[in-house]
Amino acid sequence: MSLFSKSQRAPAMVGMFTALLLALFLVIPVLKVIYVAFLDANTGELTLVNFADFFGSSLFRESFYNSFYVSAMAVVFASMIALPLSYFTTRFNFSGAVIIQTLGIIPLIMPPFVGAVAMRLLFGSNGSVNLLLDEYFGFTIPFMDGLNGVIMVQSIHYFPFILINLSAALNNIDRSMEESAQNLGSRGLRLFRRIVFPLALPGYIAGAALVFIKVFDDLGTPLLLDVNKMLAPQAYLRISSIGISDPMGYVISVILIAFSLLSLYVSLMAMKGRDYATSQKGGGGLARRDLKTWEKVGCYSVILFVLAIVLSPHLGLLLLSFGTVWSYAVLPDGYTFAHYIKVASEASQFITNTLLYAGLAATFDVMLGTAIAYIVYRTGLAGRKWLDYGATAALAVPGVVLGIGYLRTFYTFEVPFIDKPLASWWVIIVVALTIRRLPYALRACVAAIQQVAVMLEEAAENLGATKQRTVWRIVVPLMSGGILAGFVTSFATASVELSATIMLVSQESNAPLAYGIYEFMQSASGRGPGAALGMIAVVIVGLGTYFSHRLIERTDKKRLAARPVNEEATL
Amino acid sequence: MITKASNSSDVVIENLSLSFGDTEVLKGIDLTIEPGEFFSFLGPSGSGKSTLLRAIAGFGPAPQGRILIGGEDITRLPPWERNVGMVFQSYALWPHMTVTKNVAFGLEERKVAKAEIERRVSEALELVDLTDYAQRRPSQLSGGQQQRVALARTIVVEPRVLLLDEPLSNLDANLRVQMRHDILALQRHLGLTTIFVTHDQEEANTTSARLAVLNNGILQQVGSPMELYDSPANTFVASFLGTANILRGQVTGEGASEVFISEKGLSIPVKNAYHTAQAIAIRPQNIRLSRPGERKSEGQAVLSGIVRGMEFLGSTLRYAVSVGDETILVDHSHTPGDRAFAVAEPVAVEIGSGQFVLLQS
Repeated sequence: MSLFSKSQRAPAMVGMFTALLLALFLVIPVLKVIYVAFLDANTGELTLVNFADFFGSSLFRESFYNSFYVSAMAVVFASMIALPLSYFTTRFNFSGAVIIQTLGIIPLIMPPFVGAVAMRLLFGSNGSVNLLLDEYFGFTIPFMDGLNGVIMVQSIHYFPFILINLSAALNNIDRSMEESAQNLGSRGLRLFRRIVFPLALPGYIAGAALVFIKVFDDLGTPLLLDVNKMLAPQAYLRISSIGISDPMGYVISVILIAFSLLSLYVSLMAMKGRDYATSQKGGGGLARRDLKTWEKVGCYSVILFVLAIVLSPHLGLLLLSFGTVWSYAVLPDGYTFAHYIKVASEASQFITNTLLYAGLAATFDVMLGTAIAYIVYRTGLAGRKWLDYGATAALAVPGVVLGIGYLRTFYTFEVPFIDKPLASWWVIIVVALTIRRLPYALRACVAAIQQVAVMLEEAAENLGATKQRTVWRIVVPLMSGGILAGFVTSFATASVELSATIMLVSQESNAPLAYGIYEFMQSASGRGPGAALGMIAVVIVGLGTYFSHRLIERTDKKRLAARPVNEEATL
Repeated sequence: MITKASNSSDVVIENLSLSFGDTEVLKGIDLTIEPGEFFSFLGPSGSGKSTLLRAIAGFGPAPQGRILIGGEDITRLPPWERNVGMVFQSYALWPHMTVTKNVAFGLEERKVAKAEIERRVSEALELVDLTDYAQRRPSQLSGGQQQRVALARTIVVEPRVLLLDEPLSNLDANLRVQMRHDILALQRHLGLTTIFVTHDQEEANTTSARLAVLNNGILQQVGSPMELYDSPANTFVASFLGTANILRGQVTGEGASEVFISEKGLSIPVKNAYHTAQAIAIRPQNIRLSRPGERKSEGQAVLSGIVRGMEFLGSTLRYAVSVGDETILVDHSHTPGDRAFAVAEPVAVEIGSGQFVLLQS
């Protein structure tokens, strides 16, 4: 008897190949990083001395505290933006819902570090807003001073994660949950406190944990705002200035991983046994009511205020990219196309590199994602769940850590014929992007395959199609919408990735867009061209996001049309 | 102790109409449900039966007309002030609360003293036989158990009326029969006015003292299951409750020689009927087949037909017989050893006198 039945041989081969890739480019580098953190640099013995050194240094203690403080405050401010917005859309018949949905997307199409410099010109101590405040009211607000700047930029960028999760949780509450409480005599605030709030809480916690960890791990934003006393920048600076043998970078990596795991654990615990959406039948969300005129005015004021804040990085970046000189002034002195021309003539390799890297990474991602989704949900292979866990584990690995891991693991690995270590070959950037974006592509593929009824495959097999033919003719075509959406999302987010790639760029001719923006933004004279590059990045990500939403919408519509409607339930 | 309700109330619905936007879902419903009665709303999906039930509980758009419970007009009251207990089709158990917390909820909202809540919750759980499951979460219960929690949660507050919205539709067939008996026993025990919404005539017939048949938002007929079956008011009721041969046509002739002539030319003698009938309904079991020449009794109408098909239904054999241009269904009870009619066999078709209903519409 063979190890696998005949019909499982092909999936088993694919599964083992995928597992090998994950082991080589995710598990081993990360384990290496953790191992080195516990290694005595001089004697080569296992030790805790590196951690003692870390916590013995006031600089690192302060960095640790700052990272924690900034992440927690970013969650607070992001919640303050997201809570009213999600409440408006789920409780009221409200024409502003479209604006709110848009609000939830705008920040995500610009990586936070891209807008950071522009935000300083708008909100910094000598920025537009404070100049106006000082002139008319005689005071200024330190929006962007030190850690405040990181908090502000991050909370504006990441609040959509809370908005999306919380809105989904609220929308998933079946109307009968609320009606049965009313039927038993509950109403108003009590009903909210006892039924609606506890049912929506897991969604909120999941979103908040995500925001926390994204901010905790982020490298680009603090670097661009010159805030170096945080964990991720310290790790980068130690490795890039002292070298890959300095243990502090590894210690920080271990701390970053620990916090990532902790926040994933918190959000898992929040959702565990509380995935209420699936335990409720029906659906349709809570009862909505119409707004009175003054309530509408209030809602719109809040929304417009948030819109103004959310659009400010984009606006700032736009002004910066067209502005001549912008310093100690509300607006730039004049406007010019010079920055774009400079970028097109001198920095076009950043763009072509990015299209190549992100395109390759997204292609690998959906290939791996489809394979893993199929193996997990359609075969009985032993250990198949571990493929899913393995690929998803990339979520818990901050970009900085993956970068350090690749440097350490592949610096001694010479690529044949190229005569270069793998760690400084451009392909390693594609590998890093592939691993970093795989969890997102995988989720899109899993969602797609779960919506394909097994019955449809059985029908094909019943009519004589082999497993392989069935996958090719039935499963993949039916998944195509989800796969394409996964591709576009991976592509768009990979094209502005900075944390891992900044470590792996060995020469400027191989650098992607995000690195180019970072390089330009370092000098005052480079800000204009940097902003122009940033605008190009925004356009790429914006188009990507737009198309992936269109794709998802289209497949959803098709699915709705195909589903029989239960009249009684809708009445 | 939860015992016979002293506050069992009647429900009066007066000229109730309701629209979703431009769609009229209920049209001028008039209905009285007696105190302590087990009453069903029966109708196909989209008939408005659930909408009517939800209107009594105070959900959905505001209706025109009035709803009175125990003489009190509740039409404008919000749901939480009505004190009518509703069991939702999906049960609507709160997943974040244990069974005990779910059942205690309504009492807590009513500010009942803690000790009494404890006592009444445990009594209610005992009543539905779920004492051992008190600390479970809804997701850890089977469908039937969830159904019983939903019942306990509703009756523990001693509502004036119990509303059941297709409570059995999410259960499998065996459990459905069991649950039906349990609900009926519970209702009898409590003497609670109960309205049961269903699209299943068997459920309605076996549980209810009376039922209301709805179609397209219009009340078709109200009566006991047997009345509705034997004397349907129209073709919809005749065909929705049980199987009936419905032939459209009209009555001609006078007095003893009156005859119903169907559109396809079949004539059935209907002595002393009224002239205005538009249709005739005949139950398959009220028609007899015999071999030509073997006829035992002198029936009113004897037609000749040919057997076109036969279905074996267990206790009965159902024949499709063509008579002239009509095809009618005939049921014969089945006993072992009897000789069935063969397909294509000519037969005499006999409709017993008075075994039909003439219908206006």
